[in-house]
Amino acid sequence: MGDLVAVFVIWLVAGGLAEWATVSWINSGPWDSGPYFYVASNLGTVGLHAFDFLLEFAVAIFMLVVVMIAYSAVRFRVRRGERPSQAPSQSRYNGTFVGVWIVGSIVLNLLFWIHPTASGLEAVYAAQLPQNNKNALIVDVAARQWEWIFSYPQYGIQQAVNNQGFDALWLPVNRPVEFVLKSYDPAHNYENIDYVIHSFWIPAFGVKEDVVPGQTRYLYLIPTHITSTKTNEMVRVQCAEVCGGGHPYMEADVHVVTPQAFAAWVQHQKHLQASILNLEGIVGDES
Amino acid sequence: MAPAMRGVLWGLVAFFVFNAATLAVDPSAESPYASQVSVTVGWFAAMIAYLLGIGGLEAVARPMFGLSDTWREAPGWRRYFGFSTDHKVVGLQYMLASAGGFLVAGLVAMAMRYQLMTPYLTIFGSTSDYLTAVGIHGTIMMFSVATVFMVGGLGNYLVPLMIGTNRTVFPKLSGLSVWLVPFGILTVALSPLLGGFTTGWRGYQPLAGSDTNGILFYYLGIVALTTSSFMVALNLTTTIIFRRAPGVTWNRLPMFAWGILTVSLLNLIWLPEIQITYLMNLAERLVPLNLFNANGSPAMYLDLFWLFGHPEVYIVVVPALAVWNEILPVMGKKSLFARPVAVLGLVFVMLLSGLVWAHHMFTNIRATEQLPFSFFTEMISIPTGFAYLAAIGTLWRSRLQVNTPTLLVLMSMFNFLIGGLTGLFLADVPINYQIHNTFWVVGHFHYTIIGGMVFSSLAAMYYWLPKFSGRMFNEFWGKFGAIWIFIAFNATFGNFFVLGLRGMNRWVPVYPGYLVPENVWTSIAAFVLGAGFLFHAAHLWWAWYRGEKADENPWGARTLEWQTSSPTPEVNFSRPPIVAANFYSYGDDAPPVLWAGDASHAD
Amino acid sequence: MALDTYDPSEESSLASRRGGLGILLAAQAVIPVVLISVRFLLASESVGPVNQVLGVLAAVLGLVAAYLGIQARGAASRGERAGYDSLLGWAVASAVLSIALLIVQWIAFYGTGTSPGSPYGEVFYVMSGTWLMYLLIAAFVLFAARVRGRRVAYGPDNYWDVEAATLFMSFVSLVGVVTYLFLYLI
Ligand code: HEM
Ligand SMILES: [Cu+2]
Repeated sequence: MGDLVAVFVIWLVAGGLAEWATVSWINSGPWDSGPYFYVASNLGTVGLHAFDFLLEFAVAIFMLVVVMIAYSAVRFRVRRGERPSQAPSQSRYNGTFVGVWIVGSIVLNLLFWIHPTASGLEAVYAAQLPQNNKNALIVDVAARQWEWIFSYPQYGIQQAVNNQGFDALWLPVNRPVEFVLKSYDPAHNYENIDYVIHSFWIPAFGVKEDVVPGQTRYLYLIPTHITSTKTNEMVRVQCAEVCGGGHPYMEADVHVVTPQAFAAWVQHQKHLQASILNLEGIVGDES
Repeated sequence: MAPAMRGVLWGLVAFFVFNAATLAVDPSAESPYASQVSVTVGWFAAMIAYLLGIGGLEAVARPMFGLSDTWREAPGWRRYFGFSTDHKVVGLQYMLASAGGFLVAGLVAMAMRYQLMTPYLTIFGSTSDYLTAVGIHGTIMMFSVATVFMVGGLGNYLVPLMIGTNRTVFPKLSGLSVWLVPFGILTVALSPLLGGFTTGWRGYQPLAGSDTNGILFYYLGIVALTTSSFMVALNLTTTIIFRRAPGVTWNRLPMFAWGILTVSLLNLIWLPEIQITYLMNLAERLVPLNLFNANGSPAMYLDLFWLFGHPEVYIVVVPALAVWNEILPVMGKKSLFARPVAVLGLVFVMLLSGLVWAHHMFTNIRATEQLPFSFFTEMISIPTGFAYLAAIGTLWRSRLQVNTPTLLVLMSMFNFLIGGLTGLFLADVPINYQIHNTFWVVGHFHYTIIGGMVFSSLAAMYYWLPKFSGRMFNEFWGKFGAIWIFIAFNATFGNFFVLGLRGMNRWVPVYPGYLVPENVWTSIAAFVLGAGFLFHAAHLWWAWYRGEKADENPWGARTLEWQTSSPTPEVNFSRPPIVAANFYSYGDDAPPVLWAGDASHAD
Repeated sequence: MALDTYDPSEESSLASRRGGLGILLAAQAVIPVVLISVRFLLASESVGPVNQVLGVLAAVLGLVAAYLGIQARGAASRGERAGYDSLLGWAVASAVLSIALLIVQWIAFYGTGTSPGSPYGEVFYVMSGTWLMYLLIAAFVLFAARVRGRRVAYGPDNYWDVEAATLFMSFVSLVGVVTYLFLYLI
């Protein structure tokens, strides 16, 4: 009995300290991003809440098991100078211990599955319903080896680029975005068989979706903070599925801006596009 | 000529002959020296010639056609460099080959970590070279270390001893199979000759289809390595079923034998699955077909790969869980706690492991599939936990000798716990959206594999060293080394989780600058870890030859391998052992394991 | 338990070998299962321009080879030297003929102009190729068992080689039937 109480007390103390550290981590960072370091989308927030919840439990479980192991290793060890002997207790079974363990692990796992997994997925699925994304900004995303190409069909922008000509993704804050994801190359007519799987990931948005050749996938999310790659490098598009030699370079800058700034940017892109097309003398070829 | 030399020579000759002959008739040849088809044909010919050369000709091919078996094993240490039917020799050959793979792939890992100290390319000429290194590292580690060291190595050596038999059912099968390990390692390691491959160890399609020809050596190397593991599984399963000594009932079967049995069943089911998948991939390239590209079904490859790939990780870890519960009762001199629950745990892990594969594809699959797969994934932690239940129950109120093997087992339990708990986060789909394919995942599986399996393997090496060599390691240096790798390991891979959360993705030698400081620290810890493994290798090597002479049964263990002299004699048991009591019953009144009386009354 | 079950006599070692071979064949059955799933995933239930006669004949010849092998096993266990020799010879011949028919089928199929890269084409080559590979191995082991039988006389306590080859051939003949059903008929 004494040993059990000792384990329990040590767990309470050490576990309490660990939980305190955990909670301070959870409450750190911009907008309490905590373990996610930087979260700026609705989907990311769902994941972050799940993470925080699981982390608190995981730390408690971890401390319990480690305290049991460490306590046994210290308390029941053969000390220096003692002769090894048979253990005094040879209990091979203890219904209470086994029962509590098994029931406990089943209950915990069911709990984790219901919350945060199922409940979190519920939130994610709800966020994916088109009726919950009225007035969504549509961004067509083409993933090719090795480039992200963003076009905005609602605004006639065929390929959004920054002043240096690199692809860039601009989004207005707090407006739903519908990403239409395809793995193909709009500029070349390769055969279908040359396209590979990519994965569209914005670390600060806390979500990624695979882009599979031959399929069109949709991802709805809402950017919740004004920010950009310059502010924090987690705000970037990054390919997250190995796609050949250029995989590490398959990234693009992201800017989440006010609606006004977005409108200005759209005008700027249109001018840019017109001037490029003028230069190439192909205006009018495309509608 | 040493058989190993002869095998290499014949293999080389066969490769060049068949490569040239195929080239002469291959209309698709792109180069005057080799084509994809000619390399493949040459490789298969080389494999057969090599197996004949190491002794298969005399010991297998001749008897097959009714000629006498003229194979003679070389005396002394030289018998380790040729075909052998002694399960102990085969076991040690497996361990050595596997350790060789660990060294090669470990050095590659050091190069990768060196590269990752900077956000731009340094020692790798191109990003593709780095990706090739990742692929070689992962492939060799998985197929020749993680799934081989404990099963082919410890399994072949110990299982026959533990069940009280002198030989396996198909000794020639494992005699040949072990030689496929160095062959496979070499094949994968030589893939840069054909241009390397950028897919990593998973060989994802459709990328593999447009990769350079180095991917051929990835497929072929895995064919060799999985064939080897399949042969081991077949032999050990049959041996455990049919060759147990009298009294070794299923109820008394040692934990490690249970571990090897469950793992072998997994191997028997899933290795053919992945082999046919890789043969299809090979055909896809050579013909070419459209099985797995956008005209076929890219997702089909992912399913086929992970159907095997997930059971694979339990193939890695189940023997480790078994080793914990093999060592702890002995070192604690306390009966194994809740043995039936521990065995059931292994069996349920085996059964459930076929139902979780799509958790590697949460960012890819349909929403309707996400819930069931996350469900089974979270549930599998319950039977896995039974290994902890048994271990902790055994530790409780024991008389624990905290020596090097015990310490390594406890460390393994600590590490694997972190590996398991971080898996909980990956099983949660909304979290998975963020941490999938980041360094979080890489941290998670290194914790389970190195933290769980490699630490347990080291514990096993120290524990059974007196059995293998008749000598004892040095307790101080053993513990010193254990603490060394424990700290270095956690410093290295603990950082991986944070890196992943901060947005470091996998397969990138070039990454955003804000991640540099953390990567530098991680790499330094990784080098210390690598050195720690070398230290253990050196210590074990030294102890094997120079260590103090050990007692026959230094730990006072009850399992059968300790009931014969140490090092194991040529004939394991001169008199067949008859088992009359439980292997894991300790205490002053525990009955002796071996039946001492008249054989006809046993049991 | 008595001691004599420990040190296996030829009888119990035969049981363990049979058990082992049974495990091997059961594990190999995974392969047709995978191939059939791939077949449905890629080509659903479509059937291309295959020649039914060639397919049926190839499958039946496999069964014949297995049947002859079983007879040869009986003859070997009775030590009838001439009997098992000729039976094994015919078994090898049937297997080889089955292989030949499959190759003819390949040529004929290629001749129909169906691309190997089309859904049914790739399923066809992959499944019949696996069948072919198994047949080649079976023909080889039957052949080896025959050659061995000429040097080492099979008898009541020495016929494992014939039995093993035969069991393998039986498995392959089943693979043939299953492949025929799922590739040609559906
Ligand atoms: C010795 C210490 C080790 C270090 C420092 C190390 C380091 C690494 C690193 C940096 C990666 C690349 C991650 C990425 O960019 O995707 C990696 C991948 C990998 N490692 Fe290790 N590793 C070590 C040992 C092991 C061991 C012992 C195993 C298994 C037995 C293993 C299995 C793998 C696998 C399967 C991959 C994935 C490869 C892929 O993505 O295709 N590693 N390791
Ligand atoms: Cu990509």
